[in-house]
Amino acid sequence: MTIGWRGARRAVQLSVLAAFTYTFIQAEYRGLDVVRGWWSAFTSSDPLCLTAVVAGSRSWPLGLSAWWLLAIAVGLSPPFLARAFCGWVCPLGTLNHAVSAARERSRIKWAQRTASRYWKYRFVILALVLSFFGVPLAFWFSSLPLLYRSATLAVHPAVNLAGQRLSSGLLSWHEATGAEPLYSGYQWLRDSVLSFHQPYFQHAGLNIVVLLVVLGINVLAFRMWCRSFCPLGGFLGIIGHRSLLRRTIQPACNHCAACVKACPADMGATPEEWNPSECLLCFRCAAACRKQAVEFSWRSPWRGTLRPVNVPRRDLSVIAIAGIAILAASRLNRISPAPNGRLIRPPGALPEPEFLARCLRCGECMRICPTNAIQPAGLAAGWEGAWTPVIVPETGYCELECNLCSRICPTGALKRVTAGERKTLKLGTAVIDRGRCLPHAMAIPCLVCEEHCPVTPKAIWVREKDEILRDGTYVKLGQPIIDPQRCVGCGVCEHKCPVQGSPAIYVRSFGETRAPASFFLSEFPAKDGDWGTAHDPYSS
Amino acid sequence: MSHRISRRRAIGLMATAAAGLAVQPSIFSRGMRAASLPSVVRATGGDSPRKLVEAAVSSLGGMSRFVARGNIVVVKPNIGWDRSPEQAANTNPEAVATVVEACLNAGAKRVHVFDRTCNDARRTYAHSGIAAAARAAGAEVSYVDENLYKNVTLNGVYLKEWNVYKLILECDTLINMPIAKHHGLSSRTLSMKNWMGVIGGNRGHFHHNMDQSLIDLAAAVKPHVTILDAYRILIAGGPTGGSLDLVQTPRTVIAGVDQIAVDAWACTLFPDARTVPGYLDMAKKLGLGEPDFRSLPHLEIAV
Repeated sequence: MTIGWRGARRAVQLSVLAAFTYTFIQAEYRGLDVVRGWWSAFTSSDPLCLTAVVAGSRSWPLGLSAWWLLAIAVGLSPPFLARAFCGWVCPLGTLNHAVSAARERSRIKWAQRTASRYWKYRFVILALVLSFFGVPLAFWFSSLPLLYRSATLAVHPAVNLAGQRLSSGLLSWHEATGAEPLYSGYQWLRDSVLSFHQPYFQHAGLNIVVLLVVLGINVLAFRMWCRSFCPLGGFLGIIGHRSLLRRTIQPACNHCAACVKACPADMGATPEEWNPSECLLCFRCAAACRKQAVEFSWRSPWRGTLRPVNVPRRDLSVIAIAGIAILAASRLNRISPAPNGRLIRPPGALPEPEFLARCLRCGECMRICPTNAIQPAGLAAGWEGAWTPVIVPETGYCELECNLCSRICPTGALKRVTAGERKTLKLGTAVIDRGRCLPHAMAIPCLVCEEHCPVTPKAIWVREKDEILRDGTYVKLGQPIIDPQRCVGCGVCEHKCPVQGSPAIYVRSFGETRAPASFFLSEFPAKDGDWGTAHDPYSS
Repeated sequence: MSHRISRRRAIGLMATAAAGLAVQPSIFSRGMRAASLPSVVRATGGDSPRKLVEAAVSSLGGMSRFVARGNIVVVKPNIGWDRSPEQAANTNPEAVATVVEACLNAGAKRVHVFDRTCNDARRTYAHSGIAAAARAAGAEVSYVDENLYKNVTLNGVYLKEWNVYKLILECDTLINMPIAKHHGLSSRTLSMKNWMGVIGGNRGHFHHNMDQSLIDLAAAVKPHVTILDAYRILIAGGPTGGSLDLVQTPRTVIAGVDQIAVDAWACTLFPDARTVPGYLDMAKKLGLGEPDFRSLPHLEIAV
């Protein structure tokens, strides 16, 4: 029977990991403007993030979908099931488990470290305190957004790049030998396996390092990330420290401590000890017991002695001081009242402070963006803004007909906009560098920017001009001029500009709909919706 | 009974000619046939792009004039933009489907439909309605694959060499299916500019010498027939358009074996009929086509 529990756990873990992978694969853009709620079900099941969103935005987030009921269910589970979410469900936990299990089976026999389980409690308290002030520790490190972000920014691009190299290898081989199966293999990879475009994300290496560190530390101690660092684990541990579920030892116990050795979490030093805040409900202890003396049963949560989550009071003061220091540091970089010009947020983004309080940094918008325009921000939005979505026209432009990012966002940080509303949103304003623009600076005809401008009438108009050439002859050519009130800041002009390296036309965030005060003209072109209120979102 | 001869067969025939035949038969037979048929046709009226295409193609002598049994055909529409058919930025999907069916009815083995798009191809193929319509008609609709270009020596004035899509180089029959639109740089975008959708590399460079680029490219990529969709046209704000206010509905299809004549005739559909792209005269000088379409055997039909 105990073996049965273990098998069941493994089956559930693998199914959930498969489900995660499936939702991830489904979120790939395939030419239809369809978004399903369950594509973001995993990032929506994170109770720590839900708490941090509510704390940071000081409001019950109406933008949240029904899938957040999953987060509430997960948050209510620990008193009944201890940290079974971590042991059975969490897909990052499953990967951590696999790394630790592989290390256990390998011939690497260095001593297992003893890892303090308290770090995660210090961490989650710090994260919760700071979430009131918009510092996104919970979003960065809670397991579900962390995994989705890593999959989007690191794993998928790496796997796809490898597949692309394989497929072009097959094509060259086919061209050399003429063998048809090689071409069929190439076509199959291209049409059925690989992404339409190879995704590129800035500082992708950093994301690979973060993921490798999180997974890698599990070779030091069994599931070390989960038992020592994961803030979501700590959060569930705190919720579950008074537990209805009990582990009891029957009189048959001969104190061999096989259960203590088998525990991948931190049950204690003797068989009698047990801690619901740490128990992953993995049943390894029951499986290890030769006397079948380990039992799980239900009891009143106030009876008996349990080791409570015990973070020393001195630590709390350290956390408070650290929090103040981090907050101070996070505000120091706001010396300039002007927003960063390169911070072009995707359509539907809330005003900046609200946006930062809600954005999970999960990367779902980056995953679904058909043009690869949405990139993880580096320090453009301050260090708290790391990994928030920002449009980088160099890699892709924002398609005027598309509103997918606003529809997949699990928290409403990108407010849901209809396709019609999306066309009225201004993300920024383009400007021309007349020192680089070919018709302006060098009397060379061009107008690629005007050609691609998607708005009606075009935000780039053409001024006919007779320019004198070096040999004294005249040439009649059109020079692009920007109409700032028409420009929606989509960035297609910057993306397509033939002037390489530093395009001659580029978008900056001023004039964006969510920050009308940033526009240099008093007449702001906002039309519909509640975007046009003249408040400065950067001064909250 | 004579029909157009496939490129593959033509190569075989040329080999035969080298072995002793004095006359290259394919040119001979084509010339005989063409003399009795119009070079360019304009069909106007009705509310069905399908009927317009059918009328124009049958007046040109039917699709069997261009497509022989077993031929591999490329139909190249404009699928460049994330726009609906009503916005008139892409070729009419019904017109494309009609041409695909006509090719298959003429005995084509395969009909390929593709375009190297300006907006994301997954969006334009769907939003234009062309992918669904062409697939339903029996075409093989594919996205352009960056690995399947071939570097071609053009020896043009401006373009010395460029990457051209292999399907274009390998097909037996090439059918150009542009839509008539306004364009900020070249004033009109018609059949000649549609060839920018079969080349690789950075197409932005074409814009620095647009007319010469199109002429250089036209010398290398020669369609067997051009079927220009002017059911709806963009009269301003092209080539992207957007607002329906920019769209007019001449309900016209112009088809012909001389794409310069087709383009010249298409220019007359716009409110300012005298505005023509600069490459028309250059093409005449180089013998690539005849912009004075009235000097050719031409035909106007009402549908």
